[in-house]
Amino acid sequence: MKRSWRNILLAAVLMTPLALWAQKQEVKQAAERDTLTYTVYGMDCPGCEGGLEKQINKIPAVLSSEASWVDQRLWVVVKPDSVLKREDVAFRIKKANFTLAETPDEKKE
Amino acid sequence: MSRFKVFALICLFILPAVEIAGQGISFDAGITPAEGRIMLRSQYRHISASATSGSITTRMVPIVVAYGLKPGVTLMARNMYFHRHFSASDVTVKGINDPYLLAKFRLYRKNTRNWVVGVAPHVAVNVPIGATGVGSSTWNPDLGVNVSFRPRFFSVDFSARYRIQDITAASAVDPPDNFAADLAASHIIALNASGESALAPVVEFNYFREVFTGDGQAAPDQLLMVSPGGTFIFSDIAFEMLFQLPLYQGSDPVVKQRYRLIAGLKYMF
Repeated sequence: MKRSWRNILLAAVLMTPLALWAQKQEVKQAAERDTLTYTVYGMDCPGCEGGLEKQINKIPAVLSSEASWVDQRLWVVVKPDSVLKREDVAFRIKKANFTLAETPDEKKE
Repeated sequence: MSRFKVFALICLFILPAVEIAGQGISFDAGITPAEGRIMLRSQYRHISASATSGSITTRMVPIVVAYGLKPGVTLMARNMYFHRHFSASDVTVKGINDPYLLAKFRLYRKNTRNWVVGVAPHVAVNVPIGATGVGSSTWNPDLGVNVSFRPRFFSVDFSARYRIQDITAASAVDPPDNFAADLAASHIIALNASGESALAPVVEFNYFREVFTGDGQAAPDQLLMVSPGGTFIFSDIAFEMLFQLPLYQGSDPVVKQRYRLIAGLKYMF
């Protein structure tokens, strides 16, 4: 009886990190499934990125966002079961004084 | 005019005007920040100058808060601690300067894949709150225009402004207005693939000239400086440093500028 409890405890200790890792992978995969990429013109320094992200994160359908002034890119993670409209993104980009590229190049990665 | 009055006039109006005019790395760009963006900035400025009777050392610590009220409207407030020492008379003048309020408006902005252009005029005024020591106690509005051209990893910024000293003619002496212009060119280099940290070496040219509106005045003070420096940017934080050297100071300046050093910190959120 004592041994079986020890085996259960050992299994729990070994399984917990594995379960956490699996959960993390699932979240990561879900985020990747729901990530949209946009081309944004007008960012010219690292400080511009924060201003744009602050605006994009105000959209209710957005879970998180990341901008890159070097690549002129904006990555937006959409909340599960939410729809992100291009015009909402364009409006927020405009609020940050930048410009969404004309060509619709949003793609899920 | 007695020597004392000339000296008092220099202390009250001319020196602060010259020193604040040579703004260096802090002058406003023709690009307005994002709506809701807040910027905090502080600097240490060391200014070395000499007069016939000795040296004049000035230390200034300006603190600036800017806020993107709208995408096309930026509000800014600045105040500074001011400390000046005259070696000849061993006199020290120190205190808090008058607050300076500025509103900048986006007149034109174009973002393309390869370049960004921005034009933003500004209106500003110092508010005479009767601060001790170094406040001018007069309303001194200024108007200016800022132009930025940024072809990808390069930037050229130009700023020109005209300041009306004592617009209400409240003081006994009529201080000269002044004109200032700044031109800066820099190249921003990303230090890692993500571009989170970057280095931007810069060279600036800073020009200042007094404009006398009265008659029978002396030759106007002029100052042209060349200013090499740079900014290190890490995400929302920027460290900046600039060294200013006078190239031209008019034919016979009352106070001869030697050099200026600016070290600053900027944080945006």
